[in-house]
Parts: sequence; structure tokens; C-alpha cells
Amino acid sequence: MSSVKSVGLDKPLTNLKVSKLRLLADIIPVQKYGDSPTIKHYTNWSKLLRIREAERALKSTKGALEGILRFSLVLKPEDIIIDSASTTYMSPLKNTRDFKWKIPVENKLQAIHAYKWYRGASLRLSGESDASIYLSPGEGYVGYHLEINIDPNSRANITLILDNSSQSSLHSSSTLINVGSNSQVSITTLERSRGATYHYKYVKLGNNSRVESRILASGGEATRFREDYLLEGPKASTSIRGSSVSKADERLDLIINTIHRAPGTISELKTRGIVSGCSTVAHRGVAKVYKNAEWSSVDVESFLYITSDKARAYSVPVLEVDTGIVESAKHSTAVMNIPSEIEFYLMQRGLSRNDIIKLISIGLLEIAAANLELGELGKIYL
Amino acid sequence: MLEIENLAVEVEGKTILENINLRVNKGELHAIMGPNGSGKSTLAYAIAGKGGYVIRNGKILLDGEDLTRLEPEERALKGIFLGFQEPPPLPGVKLSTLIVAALNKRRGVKDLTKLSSMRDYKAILEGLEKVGLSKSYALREANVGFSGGEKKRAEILQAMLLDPKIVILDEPDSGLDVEGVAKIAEIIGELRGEGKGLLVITHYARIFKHIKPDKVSILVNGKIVAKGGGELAYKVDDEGYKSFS
Amino acid sequence: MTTNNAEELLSAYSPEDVLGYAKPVKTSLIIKGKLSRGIVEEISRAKKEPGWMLRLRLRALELFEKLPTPNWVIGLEELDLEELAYYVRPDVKEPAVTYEDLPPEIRDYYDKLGIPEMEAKLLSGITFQFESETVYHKAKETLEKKGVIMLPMEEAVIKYPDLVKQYFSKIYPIADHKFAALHYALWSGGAFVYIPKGVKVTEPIEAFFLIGQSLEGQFEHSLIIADENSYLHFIEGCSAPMLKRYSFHDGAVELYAHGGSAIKFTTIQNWSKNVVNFNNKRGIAEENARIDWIEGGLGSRITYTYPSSILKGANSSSSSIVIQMSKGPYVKDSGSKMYHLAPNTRSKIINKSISVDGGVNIYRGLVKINKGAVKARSHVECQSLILDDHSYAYTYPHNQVEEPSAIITHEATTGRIGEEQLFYLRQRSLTEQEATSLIAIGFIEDVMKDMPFEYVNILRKVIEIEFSKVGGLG
Repeated sequence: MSSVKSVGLDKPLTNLKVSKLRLLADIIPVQKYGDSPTIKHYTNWSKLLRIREAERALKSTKGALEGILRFSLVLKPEDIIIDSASTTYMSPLKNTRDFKWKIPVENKLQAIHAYKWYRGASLRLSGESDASIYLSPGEGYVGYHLEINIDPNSRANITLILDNSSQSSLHSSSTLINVGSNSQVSITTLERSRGATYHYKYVKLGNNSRVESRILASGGEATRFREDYLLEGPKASTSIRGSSVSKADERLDLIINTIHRAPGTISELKTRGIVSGCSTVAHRGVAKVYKNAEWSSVDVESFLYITSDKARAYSVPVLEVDTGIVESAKHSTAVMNIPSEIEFYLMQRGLSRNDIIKLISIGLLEIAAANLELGELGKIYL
Repeated sequence: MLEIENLAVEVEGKTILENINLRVNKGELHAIMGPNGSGKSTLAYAIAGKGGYVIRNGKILLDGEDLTRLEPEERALKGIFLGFQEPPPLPGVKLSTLIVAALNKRRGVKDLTKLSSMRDYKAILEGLEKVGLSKSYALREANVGFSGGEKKRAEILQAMLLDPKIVILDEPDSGLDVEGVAKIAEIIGELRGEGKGLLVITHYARIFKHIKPDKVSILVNGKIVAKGGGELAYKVDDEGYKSFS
Repeated sequence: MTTNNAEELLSAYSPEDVLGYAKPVKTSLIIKGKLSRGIVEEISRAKKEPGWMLRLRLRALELFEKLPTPNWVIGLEELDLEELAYYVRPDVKEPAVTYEDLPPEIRDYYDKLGIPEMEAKLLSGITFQFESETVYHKAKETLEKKGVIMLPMEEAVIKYPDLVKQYFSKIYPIADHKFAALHYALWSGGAFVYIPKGVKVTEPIEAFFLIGQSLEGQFEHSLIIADENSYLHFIEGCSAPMLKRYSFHDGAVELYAHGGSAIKFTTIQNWSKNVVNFNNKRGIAEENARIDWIEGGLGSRITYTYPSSILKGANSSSSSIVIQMSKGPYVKDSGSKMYHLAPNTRSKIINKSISVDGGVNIYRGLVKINKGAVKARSHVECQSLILDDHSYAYTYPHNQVEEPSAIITHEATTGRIGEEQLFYLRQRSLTEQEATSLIAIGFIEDVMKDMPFEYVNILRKVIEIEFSKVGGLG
């Protein structure tokens, strides 16, 4: 049994008027507070916003399927492709419903996104279904908004590809996923960026639902990649594997938050990253257990390998616990070069230092894309 | 054929091994036995070329070619395989990816992790079965969360698949049950049958109950204090190392 | 300390119980009003200090007015600087050198805190500050013989201006944040210690700070300089009796550890439950030097303390061990900071907290490894124990690596006391409360081993009694 209902929307959004949002975008700061005592912003806002300034004039967009073809993934008839020129669905559509959720406006880019995005889709998934969504921009500023509602007692595989292959473009996207009770969802998100990318994903988990999420992020000129997992129903659980591969002068701020709002909820987050070249990478996240989320369990583990003199690696795993009645709440992180034992072990298997960095990078990609037929995708990241 | 001539090894300025002479012929199982701290693992690391293990004197020759100044990966590609006593966990790297990469290096395939042929994958799966690991281990991160015994099985699996000339195994039986030890011994026997030279480093003679070594060298305090045939292993088992020191 | 006093102290669970209600103490000068240039000048005049210090104060005042309120500061709603007395001089002409010379009201506090006993048994020097001024100051002869300078801070400003100028505000910058600037504008009291080359002071020096009245600000400044290859253990104690309204403490500690020296700095903070406590601490370690911070935080309404070390010289090292306890609607906002600027520098941070009865513990830490700090190592461990369903523990660590040969490892756990542990201890005949306090003590036991024995006993006792009143978990 499979049923995918979706609707394409070419504009409106939020309860705020466009004019008000535009004003907000001008006055709201890039972010309210500095990120750390020594680093003002982990996100490369200046780059994100500089591109935006340049984009004010740029209206034209091009290159619909081109980007996707570059990915050479295996396309299926029911896949949804949203590019900057049109919303293309390869399956028939029905007008069923409107967007319901509001986009939070908490920083400048979010505000810009809220009034400037202009491509979107709303899907409803039930039974057993797969949805693959390709966000493929051309040049210029492109904003996408996606809403995916998953009915109770369903199983779904969602693949989200964010492809911002143009160096001069700003790509913003928000994806809201609402997982009904007792549903099981697997989400794979691959982000490849050369320009500036602002990504926001919000996943809400109902009673006893489970989400397995795999993420691969790369840097580009500037990437802010944020995902929130809200465990709102009792016994909801999620397992998240976040990987990042960055090289050259890429800048990545990867933020994955897990928010426990109901009893007996479980989250497991593992992030791994390899930071080479002159790239700068932050892996951050807040694991929050609210008072009523009794007997919850939180496990965060993060590894960042810093492999070159010019690279910078930051790890900020935040734990906020509002109750003593927790099953367990822990995190551990390590930031270091590839340990010499690993290096020697792999050399003993015949690999050079460059091979080793590559091998670990590929390993990270494979973990993120375990559910996909990758084709030549790997090459794009490496 | 692996020849070690007059080898002296220093670690952090301290001499660990001195005047080591060894020869491992094709199709021969050579056991190095010795108590804790005698320098057994140092010998393995020195042969494999680990950083910090300074060769102060002597040579390591493989089929007459001097390996002493080569990088670890160059030695590996020449045919030296070391099965580690404690292989490190490789978060993010699947066991199969590791093996594919190592195979591709040996064949000069540029794309490191690209499966050259399905035969490789089949070989990995068959190998897993043979060493007593389920097929799912191919997709697990190498050595991550593996038990002591599972690590040993994964090491001998790589020894089988990478087709080296010399297989050095550092404590290949620790953490294994009796059935596991027998299996490892059986594979050692097969490798010997294929004409590989084996250097098995161990404290106890447990594994030699299943396979008799051709030669035994006893290492105490960084020196080889006795050499003999296979029966020497059983003597050590009965009497310990006291009589050698 | 008489046996009675010792027992009284040990069986007490808060400074209020030890010190009782605040009693009036005669004062000879109080400076308050709207914070202005005039106020700062008046303090400077009262201290008869040199012009350079006044200029420093005025610069700090300007910065205070300019700087924004730090965004991490929470719970300062009640603080109204205009209500506060910025400077309170107790009616003591010169710091007393014998205990008998102290005014009886102050001596009473002093006795109750068991300081005479501690002084006799443990210390090589002590300075006791009441309100804004040092009222008792004594260095044992051995210190003088070794050439150690130990003085109330303002006396050092006058007697050793060059030495003081070289370090004062150079370690903890005036502009670090708004309340650091305020501190420098209004500072009064504190200790100055200089340890000459090669001198090892085996018995600790202690400074004790007491706030006697509500609506008062205390801004003491301590500066400790350890010259090459010297050693010092400095202990800082803080307390206050029960106050009708709040008081504000905004002190600073600056440490400079020259090549090969070691400074151990222990703080036992037991302010009463209506003191707002800012504690600005920073040290610089030169080559092969070591700085160890140890802090036990028991009292106060809200505490902000972030012991920081700048590892400037190669092979220098630092540790920071902080234990915080928040029982009741109180907040401890603490966290250690380590800046690695040189090769082979090492740091270790251990932070343990216990939250109960609505208490909030926050860890806000930073490890920064700069490019060039080759093979630097840092390990951070945060453990939080929450004993009920309405208390809080937050951990905000920043691990920043810009040097590929460096390693930072970080671990944190937040949890409760396990049912099985409780059951086991109860099966061994302990009540639930006894079991809870036993486990709570065990939780911080390993970090208390570095503290002076006398303090460990006090701490242990406080925890025992604090947590014997904790209810079971729902």
C-alpha cells in the first residue's frame, strides 16, 4: 500500500505580511548572542549575507534538471524535483491542503527566507511510502519550503537532496516533518554546497514514533545547517547520524538539536566530521530534557578529526536537563587529528596519509547515505 | 622470505631489542614466545615500521630487499601483514570498505573504495563465514564495538584476503574461546600451506596445541635466548620462562 | 577552635546557622549614591592612593558605562546598583595584628568561623576582610624571612607601586565584561602576595572575606605573583551572616605564575543565600609553570565564577576542579576556561554539581587551543547530579581546536542516583536520606582529595546535612 499526496505552492506563507517580514529582515540581527567567549559566530554570516546583498538584483534562475543529473542518482517515477524555475512532480498531484506551519523567525536569514522563498511542496504520506525530494537551484537566491506530514501507523523513507552547486548563489530551505504516532520514518539528507546555504529542518515526533536520520553536510563558502528533533509524544525515539566532510576553505556550522518534551523519549546522536584543508567546521547541538520528559535518555557522541595546520574544528555539545528523573543523559566529544594508532594501522594495510583521509571521508559518506543507491555521488564530496 | 639481521630497536631512547636474528621461510610457521615485556610486540612494530620504533642497528629483508627505511604502507605493499594485538576502532570506516581499499591499493586501482569486482565482496562474505563472523560484520565499522575475539577474527580475515608474503600475528588467540583458537590455528595452517611465511607472537602456547610451529624462538628481555623446533613451545608451556632467564 | 565551636560549625548547614543574623558593626565611612565619577574619586581619596590608580578606576568606570550587560547573566533582576553602598569602612583604624585588637562584633564572626584555630594549625599567613577593608592581617615570621611580600592590596599599591603596576589589571582585563569594569572602578581590599624566586611556601596563606550588611557591595582584588620556581597555596574563604536583603560581591583574583612556579588557589565559597556573587578569576602560566584552581561553591543566591588559565609558556599546565551545590532556588553559573597558547601545554577540567530543591547548576566552559600550541592536550569532565524532578543542570562546553596535533576530549553525564544504589544501601540498613547523602558525598569525594583536610570535613558535613533533608524521588 502506498499513497503520496502532495501539493505544490508557489508562494504565500506565515501569518506575517510580506512587508512586515521584509522590515524584520532588515532590523533583526544575524543572531541575538555571540556563540562563544572567543568566537563571535560559528556561522559565517558575513558570507551568507554578502551573497544575499548581491542577490537582491538577481532574479533570473536557470538550470532545472542539470544539477540533479550531476548527482547521477537513480531517479524513480514518483520522485519530486523542485528547482528554481518550476515545481516538477513526476507523479500526479492533487490539491489537497495548504501549508499549516509557521516558519520561526529567529534570525536575519530566517526572516529573509520567510518572505523570499518561492518554491515549495506539501506532502502527506501514509501506509508505506518513499519520497525523494531534490532541491536543485540555479543561480541567484533560491528559497524552498517543504512540509511533510506522515500519518499515524505509517512507514516512510524520505530522501532530501540539497544541491547548491553554484558558487555565487544563496540557497535557503526549511523542511518541516510531522511524524504521526506509531510511525517509523527514515530520513536521509545530503547537502552539497559550493555557495552559501542556509538549511533548517524541523522534525516533530508523535507518540511512540521512531525516526532514523542520516545527514551528510559539506561546507561550501558558508553553510549553516540546523536540524531540530522535537520528541513530543511519549516513547518517541530517534537515532541521528550526522557526518561532515569539509576541505579547501569551506565553512560549516552544523547544529543538531534534540528536544525531549515527553516521558520515555530516547535520542541518540552521533556526529563525525573530518576537517581538512583550510576549512572551518563547528559541530554543535543542544540536547534538552524538559521537566515532564521523565525517564528519557539522551546520548550524544561527537568526533572531529582535524587534519591540517590551517583547519579549525569546534565542538559545542550542550546538555540541558530540567529533571533528575532521567534514564541517562550524557555526551562525549573529541577533537583531534587522526590518532597515530589508526594512521599506523591503516598504513600497515598499505594506505598513504592521503588515502587515509580519503578513506575516512568515504566512510562518513557511506554512513550518511547507507539507504541510497549512490552512483557516483561520492565523488562530489571528495 | 623474511630475514632479520642483527636488529636493535630503541623506543624513546631506551633499547628494547638487541641483536635479533630471525628467518621466516616460505611456508614456515615461526613462533616468537616470551614473557610480558620481553619486546615481542616491539619486534612486530619494528618489522612493520611503526613511528617511534627506531632501528639502531641491523636490517629487515624481504626476499633480499631491505625494508628498513621504508614507510609502513610501503612495507605493507611489499607483502608484510601485521595482525594487531589491539586493532584500533575505526569509526566511520566499514570493515568491507577497509578491505576493499587495501585490495585496491595492492592492485593499483585509483578509486580507493570502489568495489573492483563483485568477487571481492563475495570473498569478504565467504571469509567472514570462515573466520566465524556473521555477514553483517562487512557493513559494521571496523573494530568499533568488536569484542576481543571478534577483533582477532577480523584481523585473520584480512591476513587471508590481502595475500601478503609474510603474516605476523601478535597474540592471535587472546580473547577467543577454544573453538575460536582452533579456527585461527586452522587458518594459520592454510596460510602456511599456501606458502606464506608466518611469524606468530605469543605468550602462551595455547594456539600451538592446534598447530605445531616449525621453529620457535624465545625472547626474554629483548634478546633471543633460545631457538629450537616446535617442541620448544611445549616445553615453555610446561616450565614457563624461568629456565631461560 | 574549641571543641564546641568545631561542632557548631560542622553541624551547621549554612553560614546563616553559623553566623546568625547580621549584627550592627560600627562603621567610620560609607560611600553610596548614584554611581559617578565623584563616587569613584571619593573612594580613591579615602584610600589616599596614587594618581595612576585613580586614573585606572575612572577608565574602568567609563568602560562600565559603555559595556553591555553580559548576555549570560541571569537572575540579576533584583540588583540595583544605586541601592548599594559601594564602600563601607569598618571602624578599625589599621588592620589589627593581634586578634584581641579586633572589635568584639567582628571577633565574634571570626570565632564562629573557626578562623583562629585554622590560623594556628594550618596557615602561614592570613588576611581578614570585613566589608571593604582588611581588619586583620598577619604573616608568620617564616614568610618574612623568606622574603615573601604579603600585604593588604592597597598597602601594596603604595609600598610597591612598580611591582603592582606591572601586573594589576594586566591579567584580568578591565574590559573583559561589564562587571569586571565595575570591579576595577570600585575595588577595595584583597590581598597582595609576592613569592620570590625559588621560595616554596609550604603552609597555605588564607584570605577571608566577610560581608556584614545587606545592600552592600564588596569588590576585593587579590593579586598573587609567584616568581620563578616558587610555590604557593592560597586559600580564599567567603561568608556572610543572614542578611535582610541582598548584597553584591564582585571580586577579582589575578595570578601570575612565572617560569617553573606553581600556584594552587582554593576557594571555599559559602556566602549566605542572599549574596549575588561575581568572582572574576584568571591566571597566566609561563614556561613549565602550573596553576591549579580548586573551588567549592556552597552558598550564595547566584554565583558567576569562571576560573581561567592562560597557558602562555611551553609545557605549562593547569587544572580546574570545581564543585558546585545548588539547593533551593539558587543558581551557580560556573565554568572553567583554558587558553592554550604554547606547545605541550596541558589542562584538565573537572566540574561536578549537585542540584536539588529547585537548584540550578550551569557549566559554561571553554577550551581554546591556538595554532602553534603543538601537542597541547586538554580533558574536560562534567558530571551533574540532579536529586529531584524540579532541579536543573545545564552544560555549555566550547571545545575549540586550531592546531592539528592537539587533542581535546570531553565527557559529560547528567543523572540521578540509581534505584539500585539506593536499594542496596537501604538493604544495608541506611535510610533513604542517609543513602542519598552518602552517594552525594561519594560523587564529589575524588575532587575533595586535593583540598585541605579541615575544609574537606566542613564540606562533607555540609553536604551530609543539606542532603539528609532531601525527599525521595517520585
